[in-house]
Amino acid sequence: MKKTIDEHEFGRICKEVHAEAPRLLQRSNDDSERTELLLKTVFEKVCRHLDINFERQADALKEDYAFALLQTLEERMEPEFLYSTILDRELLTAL
Amino acid sequence: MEAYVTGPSDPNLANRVLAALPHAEYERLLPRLKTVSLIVKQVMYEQNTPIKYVYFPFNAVVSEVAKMKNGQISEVTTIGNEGMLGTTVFLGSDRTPLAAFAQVAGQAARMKASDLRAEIAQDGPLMKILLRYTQGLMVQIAQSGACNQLHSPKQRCARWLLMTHDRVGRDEFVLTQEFLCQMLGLRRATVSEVASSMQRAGLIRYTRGRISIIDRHALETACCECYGVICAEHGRMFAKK
Repeated sequence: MKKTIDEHEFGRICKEVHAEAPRLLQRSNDDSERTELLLKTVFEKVCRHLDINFERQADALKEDYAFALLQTLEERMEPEFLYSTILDRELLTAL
Repeated sequence: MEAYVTGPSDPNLANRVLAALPHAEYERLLPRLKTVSLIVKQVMYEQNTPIKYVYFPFNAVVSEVAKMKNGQISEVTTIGNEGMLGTTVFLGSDRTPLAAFAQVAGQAARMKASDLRAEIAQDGPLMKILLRYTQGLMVQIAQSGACNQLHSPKQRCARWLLMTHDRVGRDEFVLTQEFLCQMLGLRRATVSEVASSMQRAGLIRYTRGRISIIDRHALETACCECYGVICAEHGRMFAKK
């Protein structure tokens, strides 16, 4: 059976990445790069939680890590939750 | 129906505001324009915080949204190659209660808000073009508001897809279901139902967040009058005077 992710777990991952953000972003001044770095890190952690290979998953979706994260959440969240709200609250507005 | 225009060799000129500038004026502004890549979810500005940059999208699509205290989001408008994100700055303010983020990844020209203010103070061609664009944007916001009140989810979805199709300049783009729900103010089940019915009718293909426009003509037929009204207004604003 495919593993799923719930709101609580996703919130925990976002908080974790938020705590790592100063280290992750220390060398980047570019807004797109900073957003992508954070979303890629969230994507890696989400994939680890779901027991899927993050590179293979991104390849399968043929897109950048940002979209790959969102689509993976679409496919594996259970029960449904507003993942954008959590991303905004915990992560993107802190950039 | 007039669709938005894309595709000249200078990427900046894929943006209709920049393309409408007299050549000498465009050359003068060029050093203040920086080409940037925008990725999905990238925040351009947050609610009530100083706006640092304005953006002239080439093939990216950005959304201005209203955020509620409980985290719910509703789209106010989308901006693509027909315009500029940052009319707030143009209209003399430095912040807005709305937030803006990239909804479809792509490229845009970015200008510092302070540079735009300096340009506006000169009352030159950019000022005049942005006044016309702002009129088009106001009509787009008003017409979309009316559309959301009066028309069916399928018609609204068709309008939104046609506008995005025009702006990205390609038949395929990615969009999650959550985005579509937020943009159209619909429930997830409704969006899913509409996408399935459009897919069955051969208008689009929607797989794993990837939307392909299969039959644009049929999509235009499925759409309400609002798409045409918005396109015509933007077209009128940019028509040679």
